Amino acid sequence: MTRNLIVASALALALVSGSQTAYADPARTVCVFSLTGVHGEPFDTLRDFALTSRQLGVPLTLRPITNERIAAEDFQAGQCDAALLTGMRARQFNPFTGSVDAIGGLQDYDGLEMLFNALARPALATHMRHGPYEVAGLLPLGAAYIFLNDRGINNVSKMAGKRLAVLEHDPAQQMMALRIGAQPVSADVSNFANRFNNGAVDVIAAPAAAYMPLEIYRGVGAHGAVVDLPVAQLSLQLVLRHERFPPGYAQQAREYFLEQFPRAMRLVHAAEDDILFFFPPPDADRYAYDQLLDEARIALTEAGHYDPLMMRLMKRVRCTRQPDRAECTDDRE
Amino acid sequence: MTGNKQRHMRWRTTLAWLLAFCFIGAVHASDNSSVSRQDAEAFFRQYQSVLAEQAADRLTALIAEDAELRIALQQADNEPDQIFTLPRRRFVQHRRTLWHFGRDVRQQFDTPRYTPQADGTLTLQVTETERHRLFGQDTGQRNEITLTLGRRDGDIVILTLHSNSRLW
Repeated sequence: MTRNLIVASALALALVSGSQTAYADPARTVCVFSLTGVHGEPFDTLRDFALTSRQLGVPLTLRPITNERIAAEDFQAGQCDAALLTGMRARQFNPFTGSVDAIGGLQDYDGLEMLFNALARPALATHMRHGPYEVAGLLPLGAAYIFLNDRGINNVSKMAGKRLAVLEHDPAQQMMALRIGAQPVSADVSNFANRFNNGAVDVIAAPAAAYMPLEIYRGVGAHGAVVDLPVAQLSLQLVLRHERFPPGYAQQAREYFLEQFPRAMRLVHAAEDDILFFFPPPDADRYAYDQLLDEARIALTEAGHYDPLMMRLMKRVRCTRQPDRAECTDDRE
Repeated sequence: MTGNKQRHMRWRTTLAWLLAFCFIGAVHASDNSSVSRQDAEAFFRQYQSVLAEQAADRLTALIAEDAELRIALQQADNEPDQIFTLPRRRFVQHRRTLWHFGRDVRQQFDTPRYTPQADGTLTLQVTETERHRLFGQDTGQRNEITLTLGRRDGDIVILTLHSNSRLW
């Protein structure tokens, strides 16, 4: 009787401790690239997601990192279970989703929303995984625009010899700079704005979200301009080491982040509304600029910088929205 | 006067009054849809006030949402002008952000010229010189502006704005 009681008690204890383990899942660490640390976006969005993640049974510990290179390196070294990175930086972990930020990919936000909707569907889930990594969410960061310190650089030919900051981890930008005759100057996200503001470079590409926090208006100054033509659609991407998260978690997270698209876009529009000297390309040059971006995108894909499947998907989005585009009758992508 | 003649006279008098009322009504209706010089002068005073008070929302209200806003920007070195078409929100944004970043922003207008058009709109031509201090530099722009004013839902708004502009 006593032996049975002891065995029963031991079994009961095991059952209770086992169930406690199921509810006390250890927190996963997320390295969050955020220029402003814990203040503002994107940290606020991740903080909100952490509440949802807890309800999904996965508590998160958010670790803000202002240097994106360090965030990616820590993630790659296994110091974080997940990382929030720009699409360009995420490309090393998933070439498919990392090509969302392709130069000349999509030129408007309605098209971007269409793409993000497609990427959140279970049908594309296998493409969200690449080796040990899985992209569990995308957020729009806004279009990249060209910032000039001299509005006399008023066509592509005048870019020849101008110093253009290119992110060192994105070889596509280096190739693009050489394509238009500019002089590429290597930079990273933490210093490209400073280089522009202190005159070390003449041209940068950046989202509006960087304009006020990094005071890029100083670099534009009284005689510069910002070209109101999206060069690329930038994104933030949550990349996981998928074996450290439960099955189905990533798909649920993707659906959560898709719901955050309107929230993120409100911030994008507000940031774009703050830009001084925000001029479109001259009417007569618009088509030429579009062609330049299209040709660059195709060349960069052929050179292996962008994922061909993502380029086909983007083309489908472009042609769904504007069926009369010239590219919609060719098979170049 | 016989009874028939009296009735005939009354009928003609009534008809004359009816025709008179119709004419007055037609004139009144055309006044409501067209822009008079007086209306345009009042509008221009309002436009100047809005700029002086740096009121972006009120500036937006003075411009039709689908207004054609075209800027011909003079270039250096005898290059041809570059022509930009701006949507309303970007046109207002240029003013608004200049007010935000600039100091001592002020506009000076020369005497406008008003030209009524056959379709009831009115063309207003004026030269604006705008000066400000921006990032430690005294800069500005000169705009030779042609506005087309028309009515939308009874209010006078800018339907088109063409500006030959030079920035310095």
